[in-house]
Amino acid sequence: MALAAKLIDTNALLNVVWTSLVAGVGGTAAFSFAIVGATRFVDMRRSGHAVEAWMFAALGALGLAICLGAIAFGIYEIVNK
Amino acid sequence: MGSDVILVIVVCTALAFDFTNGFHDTANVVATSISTRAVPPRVAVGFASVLNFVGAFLSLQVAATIASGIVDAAVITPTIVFAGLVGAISWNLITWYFGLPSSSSHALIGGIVGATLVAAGTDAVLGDGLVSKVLIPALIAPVLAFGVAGLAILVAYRTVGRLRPGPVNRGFRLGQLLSGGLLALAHGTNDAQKTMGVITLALVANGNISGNDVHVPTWVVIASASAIALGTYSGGWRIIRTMGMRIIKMDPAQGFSAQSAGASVILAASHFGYPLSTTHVISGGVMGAGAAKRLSAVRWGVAGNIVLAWVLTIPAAGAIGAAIYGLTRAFGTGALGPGVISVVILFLGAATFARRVQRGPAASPTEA
Repeated sequence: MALAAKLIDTNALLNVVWTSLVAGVGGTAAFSFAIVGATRFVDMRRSGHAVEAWMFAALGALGLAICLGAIAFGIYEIVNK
Repeated sequence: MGSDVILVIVVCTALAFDFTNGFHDTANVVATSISTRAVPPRVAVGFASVLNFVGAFLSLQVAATIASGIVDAAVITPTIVFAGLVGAISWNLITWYFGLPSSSSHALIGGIVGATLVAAGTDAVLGDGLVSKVLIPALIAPVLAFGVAGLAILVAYRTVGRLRPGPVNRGFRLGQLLSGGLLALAHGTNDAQKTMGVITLALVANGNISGNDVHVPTWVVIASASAIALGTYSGGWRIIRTMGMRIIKMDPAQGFSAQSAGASVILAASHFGYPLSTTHVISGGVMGAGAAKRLSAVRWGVAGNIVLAWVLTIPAAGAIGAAIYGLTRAFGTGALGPGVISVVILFLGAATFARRVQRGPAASPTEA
């Protein structure tokens, strides 16, 4: 047990695990919502549901903004590593 | 004079390693984008090449850390570095020939460890460092990326499941430009710095740079960035085919999930100072994105061959590095040994290239 603790930086490892999960799963979810928003916006506008269409547009824009923010943060991490 | 000749040979060998690193690891960045038809093969490789070049200029903080804490820095000589680089280049070319993605960093570490073992004995290799900085991260990287990509694709399918496939696929293909671009930047920053570190160490050892004021000269940054970008542009099509098509047949959502998971794990590890191999992370991500959809979607035989290559990387590159060091020392301690070995390698490389030109390309971009 002591040997394992010496060889594995448990604190850094746990941080890597939860950050990767949040960024990887969250980023994919946000982009998926961006696609849902954009697709539904087009569908709703075609069928004349203007209010719903703009709600989906807002959802898509929010998803895309989260993704672009994550990418900007990623570049910041690369530059300031 | 003799030490200057060794320095020139080490610099040229380091740049050759950098070229094979780009060439070998292109697949990590572009394979998923190519296989999902998000980007045409040549455009994907050109895009990755430019971003690798740019990435090499973004940060110099981790240059000169390669093999630190793994071997005793006091015993490292330019000849050990030369033998280690040749071991790494050889293993990169062997795994490229068989189309297997393996870690260039592990190959370099293996080569230097092997040469150090022959040069200075077992005491010069720091076992704890090797286990904690290389072996344990090698176990964690693919498993973590597998899990993150698997969860990400399940969330993506759940979210877009009721939509028409056309817009969904177009959306995720567009997203792959962003996730692939981020991966290419991260790869350029991480991997070009290994070569910068090796060349800078050689310059310090040779007295060209003061040990009290270690900095990476601009020409080293430009040369390393150019070598990795040229290698990336050459495109290791055999490995691209393995990563993009032979492990699983990916749809755009899986490609996006694998790349996002890969970028997240690499950047998180980088932020918390945990060393993970880009190759292990991306391969794990590709397998995870495939297995989450259907376990049988992953060709486990191909995955097994890849894992076998990972297990063999350090011992095989180490054995080659050790043999090259032994051969080099057979010519004495001067520049003759590295010079002779370099000429033989250049001759073998030219002969292989001439045979390839006569036979035509083994795998074209359109096949990948």
